[in-house]
Amino acid sequence: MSLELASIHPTRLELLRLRRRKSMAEGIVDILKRDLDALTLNLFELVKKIPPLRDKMYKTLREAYELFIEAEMISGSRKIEGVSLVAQPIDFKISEDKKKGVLGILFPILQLSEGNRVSGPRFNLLDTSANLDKSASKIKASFYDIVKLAEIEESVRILLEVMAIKKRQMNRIQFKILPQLNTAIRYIELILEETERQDAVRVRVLQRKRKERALKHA
Amino acid sequence: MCAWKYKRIMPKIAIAKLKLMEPKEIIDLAGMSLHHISSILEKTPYEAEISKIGTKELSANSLEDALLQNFIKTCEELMELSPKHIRLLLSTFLMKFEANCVKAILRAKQADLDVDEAMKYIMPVGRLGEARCRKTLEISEKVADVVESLSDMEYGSVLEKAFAVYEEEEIFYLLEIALDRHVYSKIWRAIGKLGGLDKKIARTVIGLEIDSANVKTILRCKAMEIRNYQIRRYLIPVSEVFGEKELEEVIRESDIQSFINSLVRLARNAMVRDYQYIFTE
Repeated sequence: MSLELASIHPTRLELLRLRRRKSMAEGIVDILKRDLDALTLNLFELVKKIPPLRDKMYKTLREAYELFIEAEMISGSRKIEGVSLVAQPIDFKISEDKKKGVLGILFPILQLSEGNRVSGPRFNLLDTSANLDKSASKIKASFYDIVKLAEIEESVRILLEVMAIKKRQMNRIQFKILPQLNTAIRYIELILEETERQDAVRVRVLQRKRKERALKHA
Repeated sequence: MCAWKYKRIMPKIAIAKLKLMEPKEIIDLAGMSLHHISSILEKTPYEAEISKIGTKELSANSLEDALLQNFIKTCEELMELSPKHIRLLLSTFLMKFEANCVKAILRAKQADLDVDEAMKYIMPVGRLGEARCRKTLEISEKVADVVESLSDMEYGSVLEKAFAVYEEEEIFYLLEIALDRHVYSKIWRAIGKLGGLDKKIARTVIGLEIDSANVKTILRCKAMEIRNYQIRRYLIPVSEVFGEKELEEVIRESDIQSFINSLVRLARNAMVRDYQYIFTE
């Protein structure tokens, strides 16, 4: 919305219309500021959840790798490698859903599930040590943390995008629309003042001429 | 047990034992690099196998293979010097490695590896030499072909029986379990042919191995909340302390603690049985 001064009708009606637009724009800025505050609060809440979850994930993975190395030490790395070739795979599936969050923004909900639930052991128990079971179950547990972390990070990304849009909208109103409206209002006010002044002079001249004409006739 | 039949083997074992590494020396290896470990192992009875490893090929896997080869070679040497029944037991014991070799071939086929890649996982041993392993891999396209190509060996018939279940349930390790069960049953039968104290010692050693494998399997299955009827399929049905029926009874225990309590009770019963055996002997 750009205002060309030349295209503005310097009328009182236009002035009133512009003033109404200005107060509306100021109202919008106010609402946007409040939205931004709400979004910032939500962002902090989400960001706060990330470090403990990430720590938990790293801890689980570290334990899983340690157990895996122990399993390799007990059974032999070649045997573990061989067993892994035929271990029953778990078909993980990630389902995505949406939930309404702050300001009605749609946040993703990622749900990790096992497509094919393996009822028995995934490999020959006689060839491997229990550490391999523990390591596999820890790796599996860490997948759930990784997906949860991805869900939060995606929510943060969406939130930051919305915040950037709101910020852009606010800046546009604050630094473009409002100054333009102010300029237009000032322009109309000046024109109207000028017109008033000219009218006043014209009235005074007419009054003076009327008086002179009256004196002549008298 | 007649000590006289061991007259050839005992001095050799005594000398070989002296050459073995001390536990402290083995512990010290833990902090060393692979090259350092390899150079130390070259001064031990593993020298012949370790020295075959090239500098570029040196890895944890190659060292592992070398040590295993040495173990198999030692078993074969002992076999030659042993009396008839002990030789039979040792040759049956070596079937464990053959079974591992068969398992590796099956795994490689299941994973659709090419021959050279598959050979990395295979340790040729006994009747399954490198040429036989390569040939089996080359002529087989699928697991079923491997089973067929092994039909001239006892593993073929064992795998054939398990193959139907494998095809139905698509659980690969059922084939591996069938092999393990067969090998342990065969070792147990070979022990049965021994006499006197030889038999008692062999039953105790192998029985302990089977029992510990079974107990570990049950504990792991319980931890994974696997159903009882499934657990039974993973057990080796020959044992010294815990028989098949006894294990089936204790499997029914709902939690690990009560399972352990039942095992302890069974172990006590077995001890009493052993003492009775010694007294009657």
